[in-house]
Amino acid sequence: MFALVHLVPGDPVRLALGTRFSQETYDALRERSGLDQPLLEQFVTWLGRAVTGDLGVSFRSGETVTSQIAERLPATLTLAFASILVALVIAVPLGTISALRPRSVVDRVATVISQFGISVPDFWMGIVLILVFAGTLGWLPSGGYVPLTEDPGGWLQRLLMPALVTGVVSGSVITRFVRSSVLEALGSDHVRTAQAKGLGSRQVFTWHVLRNALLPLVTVTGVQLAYLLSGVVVVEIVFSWPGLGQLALQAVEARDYPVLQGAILLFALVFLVINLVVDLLYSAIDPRIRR
Amino acid sequence: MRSTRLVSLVAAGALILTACGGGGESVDTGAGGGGSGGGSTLVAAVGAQPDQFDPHVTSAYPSFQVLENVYDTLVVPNPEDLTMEPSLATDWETSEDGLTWTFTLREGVTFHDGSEFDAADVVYSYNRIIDEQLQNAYRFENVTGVEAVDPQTVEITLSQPTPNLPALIGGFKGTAIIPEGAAEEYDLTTEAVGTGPFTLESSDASSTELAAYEEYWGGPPSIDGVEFRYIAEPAAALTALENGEVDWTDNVPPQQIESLEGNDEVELQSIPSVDYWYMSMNFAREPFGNPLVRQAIATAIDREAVTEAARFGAAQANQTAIPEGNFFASDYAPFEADAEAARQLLEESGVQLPLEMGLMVTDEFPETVTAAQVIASQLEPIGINVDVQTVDFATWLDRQGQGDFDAFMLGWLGNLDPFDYYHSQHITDGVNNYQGYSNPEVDQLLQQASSETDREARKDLYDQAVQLIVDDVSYLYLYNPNVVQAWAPGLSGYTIRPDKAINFEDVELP
Repeated sequence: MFALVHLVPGDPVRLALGTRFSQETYDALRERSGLDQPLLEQFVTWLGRAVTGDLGVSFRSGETVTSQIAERLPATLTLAFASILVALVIAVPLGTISALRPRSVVDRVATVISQFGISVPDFWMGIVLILVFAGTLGWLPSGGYVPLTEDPGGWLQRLLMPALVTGVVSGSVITRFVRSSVLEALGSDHVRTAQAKGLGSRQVFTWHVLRNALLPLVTVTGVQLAYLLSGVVVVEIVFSWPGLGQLALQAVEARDYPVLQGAILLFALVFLVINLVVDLLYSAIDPRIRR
Repeated sequence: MRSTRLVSLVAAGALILTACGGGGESVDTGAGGGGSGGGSTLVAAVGAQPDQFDPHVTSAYPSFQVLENVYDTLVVPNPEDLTMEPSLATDWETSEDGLTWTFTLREGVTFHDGSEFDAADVVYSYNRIIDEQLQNAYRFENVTGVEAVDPQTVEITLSQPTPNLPALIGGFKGTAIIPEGAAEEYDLTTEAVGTGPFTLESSDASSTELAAYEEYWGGPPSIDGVEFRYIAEPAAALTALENGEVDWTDNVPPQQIESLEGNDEVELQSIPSVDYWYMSMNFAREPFGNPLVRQAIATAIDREAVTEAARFGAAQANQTAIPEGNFFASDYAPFEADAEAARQLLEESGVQLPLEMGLMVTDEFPETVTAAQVIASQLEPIGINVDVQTVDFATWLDRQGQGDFDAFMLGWLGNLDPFDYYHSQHITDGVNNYQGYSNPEVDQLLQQASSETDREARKDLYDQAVQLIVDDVSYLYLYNPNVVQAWAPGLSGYTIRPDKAINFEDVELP
């Protein structure tokens, strides 16, 4: 990963200096940022510091990478969990209803909605929402972020539109999973057995269908959450949301290796943790897995 | 004028509230909710977050949008015609031989940390840039010494006459004066200790906040502070301006400039800037080393059409670099868009058609991508197939540095002196002469012009050099873009500037 980041064409020193500078300035900055050292040596230095929690200093801002990430983490966590909430609120009822009445009008409408959510570009949806709700109607601010602790009302107002956009996109993906897993569970032997035993349809649905359909739902929700936690660049830019996606994008553009490595490390950790949580949830939902 | 205002405003100083950080209700209640900021805090929507605040280190425009209001330089460009006028230096004189400049410093100036400003601070600031080879060290190339004669006098000695010294040390805040020892005492990447009208209060991933500096030598600003809010998406920035969340923005969607001109909710201004955009061809790659080929291309391109497409008309086509109206502008314009004449030139050159030409542009500056598409369509009829290569800026700079291109398009921004416009770009082996142009006559003219102290004589030298540069098509000049900014109706005291410096010192909110 370290080598990959450094192999991307582009010179961070040249980028930092812009277009007007002297060769001496270039050499001095290259030396100060440690980029004149052999790559292996840079890696060893970085690794040695990284294990102690020191991810280095950004080339661009001179701030520590950890402080830059910490500054943006609350915004990213807020948006990711809010979006997942929106996604589940959309996906679970919609997916279930269309599975219960396959090929019905409801099912077809649900398919169209989820297809729409998947295919509409998120920046377009974002700008339309801004023009309507912030522009024409004037109900919501056009973007930005304030911490919950500072201004709960403002926090919620600013969260609504970005969470809706990312939530609709994720929700559309999840809806299809819910539909297919509920359909599959409905057709399984044990459901038929339960129905044959004379259990009420609500009981069958809650205990036999839903619980089995939950497993794939947890998996896909975990994947979506991990994706949201690694930042949703486009939505962050449209709504001026100071999340990790923008940080990572800026780091790529400036070839700011320390920040980019820090961000990638964090995203890897997020995937690990979410996979662990998903596995733990599996065993809670399905006791057979524990054995 | 400044000093009388200072007295009256200091007397009124007790009445002026200090800015409160965040919270509170916005005075500019538009239809939208949730505006923030103090009683009279100006909210400015800018396109990007500053990368850092050390004026001697950063090269980023978003940083200088903020730093312009926090730091001062010895001299400063006048907002209208950009001639250099006093700032921290009240006047200056040049020795007979042009090698010694003596600056008299302003009295009664204090830094934001309370310390007094004097000559030692100037010496420290300039030596920091020179000794540590920081970003703007190249501006001090001719400087052999910076000395404090007495606390109010600084002497700069030079290796050769440098008529553009004021522009070099005062063109923008990259050569700002910081207090002696500040780099050791403060973390200048996040803290600022200037002498300017505002102090840097805080900065995070959403906004940067400034507060009025009551002891400012020019008299405290009439507003309590400024909040720079980063809104990258132009449509969102414009919506925020229209519904009153922000008071000012320079992030206007270019395609909406025309429709905004008649809009009552927004005050929009668009004036010619000091920037220029150009195309350049690689002299080391055949057949672009052939002057006839370059001239054919320069003749085939319709600059008006390129300008219209790239900037939706908010620009002036130009065949030289310096915009019309500038003292040093040249009216030399030998090319007229004419496909037939271009085809003839190509024929004369003897190159085989169709000719393939890669044109390297970057999505960092989307207008280059649009312009390149128009250029491609204009060159196709004369037998040149243009391959528009859109790459990210890092790759672009790499390839430019390595000479790995047939042709590219880019701009030079924030030019003040003709030296900025022409010198390093066209002199043989100049640091920015990536195209590999070399003409001994141009070299001699540029050298002479760089140290000519008589303004008229200097203009004459540049005029001669420019004619050769244009005839040889070292650069194929395209246009000077406008600077476009918009603000809330009723906001007063703000002056839009050709150099895109943003100064909120005299602003009053509606």
